[in-house]
Amino acid sequence: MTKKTFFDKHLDLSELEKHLSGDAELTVIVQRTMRNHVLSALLELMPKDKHHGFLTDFSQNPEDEKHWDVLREHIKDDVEKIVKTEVQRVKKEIIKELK
Amino acid sequence: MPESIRAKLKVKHLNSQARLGKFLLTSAFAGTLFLGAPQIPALSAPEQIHFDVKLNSRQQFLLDLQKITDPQNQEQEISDIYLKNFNLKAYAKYEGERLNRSYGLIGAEQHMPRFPGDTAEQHGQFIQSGITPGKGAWGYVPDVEKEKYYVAVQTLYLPDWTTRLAYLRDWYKYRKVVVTNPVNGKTIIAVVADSGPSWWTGKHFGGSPEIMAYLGLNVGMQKGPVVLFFVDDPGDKIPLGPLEEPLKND
Repeated sequence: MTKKTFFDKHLDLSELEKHLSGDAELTVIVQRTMRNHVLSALLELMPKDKHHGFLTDFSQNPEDEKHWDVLREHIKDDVEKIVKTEVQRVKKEIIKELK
Repeated sequence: MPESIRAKLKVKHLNSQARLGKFLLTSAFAGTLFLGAPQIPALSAPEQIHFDVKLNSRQQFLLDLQKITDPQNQEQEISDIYLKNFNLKAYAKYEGERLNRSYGLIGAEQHMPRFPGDTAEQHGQFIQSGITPGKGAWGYVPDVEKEKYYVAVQTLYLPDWTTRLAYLRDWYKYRKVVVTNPVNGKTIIAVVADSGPSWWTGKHFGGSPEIMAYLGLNVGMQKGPVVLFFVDDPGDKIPLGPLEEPLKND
């Protein structure tokens, strides 16, 4: 049972879909891989002492859009850009494997 | 899709979990909140039990469990309660291995495919639960009983999962466990047949539709607290499924 996350709107899988050929298992794996990397990228830029609070709140309500505000408060750079960049990076890597 | 590509993507997924896992281990989540549990209630008080009737095994078991106030730190006491009431040897740590948690939230999982092309309809019961789109962490689950009574545990978040992968993968495959809902005392014997759920779901274990239904957790949010211990059954004699009466000695 997979919940959505607040940054799922940036996980555009349309480019990957033609490579995944409707394979449901791989689609789930790719989606989870991207989510893990995006979260890691954000945590890498967030002060360590803020990790616990963020992870606690995120685990309780991963869809909550308010997480953006928390991230903006603790990360200097453009948070949405970080997410998009990480998604693109992972996407490129995956496409490379699929070709 | 060629198996080689499938395997590569699975490795990529594992790597992404390892990257994220570092944050979970180094943050305070390494402790009680390691896996992102929201508020896990203490072992709940059971429903009122009337003492003018003879208690059955489950009722007595429930009464004993009620005395447990801190399940993560009273694992030995819980083992004693299993032994006393069900003649069941069950441990949080077994053969030197343990999960990050022996008490946590279990969430509803789907049926697992037993063979290529398997569908939820072919499982006969709990069709509405659906079936996972892919194989489990250990592939298809061809044994009907094992699929029926399976749990998912968070092996991927074990601190030594990557360094001892080959050993642990085999050790956990179909590892027999006992799962108890402390609210009603319902107890079931199951096997580990999948890995998960993701830490951020706030859940620590996953249960097959049959397990969730028996434990009384297939309603509402389809999750609830459980105790999950390893079963000492080297001869594989203890049958899977609900445990209602004490096991008989050999």
